[in-house]
Amino acid sequence: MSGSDVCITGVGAATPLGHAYRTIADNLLAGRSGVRRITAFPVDDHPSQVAGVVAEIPSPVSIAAADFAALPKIDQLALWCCATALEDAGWWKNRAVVRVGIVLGTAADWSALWETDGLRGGTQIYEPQQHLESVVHRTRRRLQLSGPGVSVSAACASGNYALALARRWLRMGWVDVCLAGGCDMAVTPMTVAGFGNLRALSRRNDDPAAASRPFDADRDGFVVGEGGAMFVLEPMASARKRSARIYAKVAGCGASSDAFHMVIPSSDPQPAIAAVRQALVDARVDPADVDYVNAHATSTAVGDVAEAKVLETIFESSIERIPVSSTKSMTGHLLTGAAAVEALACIIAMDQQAAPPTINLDHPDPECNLCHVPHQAQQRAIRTTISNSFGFGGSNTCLVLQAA
Amino acid sequence: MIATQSSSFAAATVKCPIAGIGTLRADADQLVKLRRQPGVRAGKPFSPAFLKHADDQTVAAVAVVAQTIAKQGWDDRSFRDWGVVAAPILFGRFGNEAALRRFVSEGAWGISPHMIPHHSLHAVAGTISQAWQIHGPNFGISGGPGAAAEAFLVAATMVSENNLPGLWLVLTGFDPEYIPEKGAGKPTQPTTCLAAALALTPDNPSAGLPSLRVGCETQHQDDPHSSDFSLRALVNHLECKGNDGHGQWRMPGGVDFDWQIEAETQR
Repeated sequence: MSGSDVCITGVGAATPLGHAYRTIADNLLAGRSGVRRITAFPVDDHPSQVAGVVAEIPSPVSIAAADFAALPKIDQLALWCCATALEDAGWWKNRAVVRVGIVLGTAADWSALWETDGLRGGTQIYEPQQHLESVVHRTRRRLQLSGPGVSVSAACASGNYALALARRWLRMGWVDVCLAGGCDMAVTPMTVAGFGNLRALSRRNDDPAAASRPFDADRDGFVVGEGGAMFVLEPMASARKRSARIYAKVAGCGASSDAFHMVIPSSDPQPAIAAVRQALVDARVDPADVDYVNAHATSTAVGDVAEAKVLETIFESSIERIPVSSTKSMTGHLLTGAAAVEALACIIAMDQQAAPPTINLDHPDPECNLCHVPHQAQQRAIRTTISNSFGFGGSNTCLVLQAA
Repeated sequence: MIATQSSSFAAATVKCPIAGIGTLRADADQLVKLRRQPGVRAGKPFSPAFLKHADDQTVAAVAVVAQTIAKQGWDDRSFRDWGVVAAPILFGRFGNEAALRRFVSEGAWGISPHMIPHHSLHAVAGTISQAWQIHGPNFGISGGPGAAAEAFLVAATMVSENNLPGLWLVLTGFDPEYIPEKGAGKPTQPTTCLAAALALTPDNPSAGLPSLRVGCETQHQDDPHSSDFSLRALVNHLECKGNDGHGQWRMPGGVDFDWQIEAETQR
């Protein structure tokens, strides 16, 4: 153990597979799909009509249910994830005596506000807003946190950037404890329409649970999802000193950019390879020692094949035995919330010693020649995991989590 | 980069040289011209279509980086391994207003496929990365009124890692605030897009460059809405050549943010 080691001691999440750690773990390892037909708004004129949807987000104990219900959905999500993570870590009652920072991966703070309000007939987009707080600062204020707060956005890679920055803040001494992760409530009429018109989404509307099929030859696009996860990070030494439950060590982070296109992954795999290598070097992990890979694999032909090439290059012959799965097959693609929820999937894999499956993987794409985990979880010894998250704007990130 | 324990801060203060500074103020007419030609890269003009679908703040951001590179004589310099952190304020408002109107009148069909890639918070940093073939990390910050202050904290965090040869910190926003006139495709009053670009180079602390120092004091818990950091104040300062500048601004929520631009680093 190094003096600069940082670990995760608390988890809070709301996903299409549930909003409690135990429930999410059970559903993830049972291979259940959280993808449904969208019912929150009319979708008859949408090309894609399915999504991974979060059920009603419960109110944290600190907030009156009626007050909570009146908040925007993204505020509910962030508050639930942060409050339950602090509670889980044992910091909730003592959060005022330490500097708790917050790094929130989010992309649609203002556009979601404008859309939600505008579609209800509101006029907020036409009104001055220089005085308004961002969701990260509203969350920080409601939870009475005294550390700094920032929101970061690298599209689907946001959560990994948040964890990397939080780890750095702890090492710099800017915070004692830091919340980090990503939240997105992107299943909205305009977002689903935007991705649909981009021809990025699955149109398997008659069979929602089968729509998200990463690495499968019959995939036809990704399924948009909503939800997020926040983690409590703190120095390993202080976590051990207070005998906290340690979910994982944040062992390595890597990031790069394609500098190629705002939407399409680069045909050159080198930038993504660089991000994964950087994370492994940061973690001082040999690629052959990785026990599980949570792939970014969204269920698009271009992206899945590009990532498979990256993994083949990184792991060389070990790729034949290292299990690779995409939990987006069950959750859908949670966009800004994806990286954080997939970090949670890695934690669950280490906790339960089982690799979560890629469901709907009936006919693996021959161009994605990986050690898949089709349909059912596989019991395995898992101590070191990596999670890839790549995003619009050409962002490539990789997170290495290790059992403590 | 120098990370020290400062007497005025409870934790590490990050200090790094600023190799290049640029600012830009563009009105609506200038933004139209910059969209077609924001400058040059590697001595060649951009394709006129490069920023066709971009938000105005992305246009200003690309232009201010191009101007900074030109001013520094860096046309032949590679930024391949640099990082990009971009902090627009109330980003994508014009595009969102237009999209909202079209969605209400036309339904799902009316939403442009360019809406999400070019009007989400990652778009400014991603476009700069693409423009200059920057393969280091790129991401957006905040998007809200407090974006500039958050960006300084994040930039300081990034350079303190000491694993990037440089970092572009790019700040943009409208002054006064861009408030769309319904259905008119323009703001209710004339407004100027402000942009600032700082080229932070953590690997060269003794070259007589101005420096940026960022600290983080977290003991305050007073007015939750207090924030006197403004992009306008920063741009005004950066344009006032020859003067050292410093300030302690308060971020939303009571986190003090200390910045200082010194004429030389060796003091």
